[in-house]
Amino acid sequence: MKRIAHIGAIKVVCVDLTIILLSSLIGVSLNKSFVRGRQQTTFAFERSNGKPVFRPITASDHKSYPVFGGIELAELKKVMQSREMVLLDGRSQPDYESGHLPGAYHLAVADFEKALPLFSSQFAKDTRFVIYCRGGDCSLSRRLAELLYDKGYVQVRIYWGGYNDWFLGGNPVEKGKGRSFLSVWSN
Amino acid sequence: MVKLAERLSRLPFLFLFRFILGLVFLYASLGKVLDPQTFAENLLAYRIFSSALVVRYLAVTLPWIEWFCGIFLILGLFVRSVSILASGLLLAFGVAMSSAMIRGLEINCGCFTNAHEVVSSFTLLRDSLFLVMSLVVLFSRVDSFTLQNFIARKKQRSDVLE
Repeated sequence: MKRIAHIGAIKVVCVDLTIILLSSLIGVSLNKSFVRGRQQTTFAFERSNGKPVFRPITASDHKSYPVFGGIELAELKKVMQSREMVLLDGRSQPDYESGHLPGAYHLAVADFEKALPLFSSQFAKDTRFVIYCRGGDCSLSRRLAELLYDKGYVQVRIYWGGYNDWFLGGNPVEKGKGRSFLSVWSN
Repeated sequence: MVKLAERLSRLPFLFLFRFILGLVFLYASLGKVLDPQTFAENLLAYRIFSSALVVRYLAVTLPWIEWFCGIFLILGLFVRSVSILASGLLLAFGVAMSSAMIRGLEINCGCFTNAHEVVSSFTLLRDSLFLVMSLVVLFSRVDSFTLQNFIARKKQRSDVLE
């Protein structure tokens, strides 16, 4: 009787393992480039019925603001290497601390006014910025771009893929306090 | 305990539980199978995984496990094995959702076809309900309306005839 129970249990485990293995094989073989982190994501900042949809900002959406230019992952990497633009993370402090793009400064939309004096003392108005947030349906980067535009920082581009696109692409991230405009940091 | 399990197996609600669970898993898997990128983003938002490779692997594998669970539960094949898998998945989702709620994360739960649904006590309660249904299916005798019972009965008949 005990032996039959053992055989039954082994059979159950075998079926489970087969399902997991089969699922892995199908999933990975259908999404090879995605699993390797080589797939360029095509998503943008909006969703329609739960599906990511690329819809560039139009003038009618933001009458008082220009259409902020976007930047793709490949170009962003080049820009980061040459350090010709400053990276700004617009997410919340816990999000920034749990992982951000290497060298990115933290300027949370929620704390913009508080952080502005220190920010203004560090960057001239003609500084070129790349802003990102979580990615996908995150609207923080657009909001931060608008806030900066209001203060005279007009050379702003947005990395729509955001942190998710960067991280899922297998690119290195930095953790911890980093360079936050609400905490004391030195360059 | 054995008698109770036997009595439960004759009741139609077991068939209903299994069928409903099967439909739920099948429906939940479809959107994720078609759009693993969004599912990966949803998983990432839970801030549980530190490796991008693990997230990408889970994002392409979990939907297919859900798909197999759904199909097998509806058909009534490998019911015991599949209900163990289903219970494990529902338990893991429940733990992840609870942890997100405790940490105050307002994130998309990634429960069904990547639709927008923020993690809340409702999503947790719904997951718990499905978990209870899955455990009932697991610990009861397999109901009589399954394909595996149909095959077994057919085999028995042909054995008798021989």
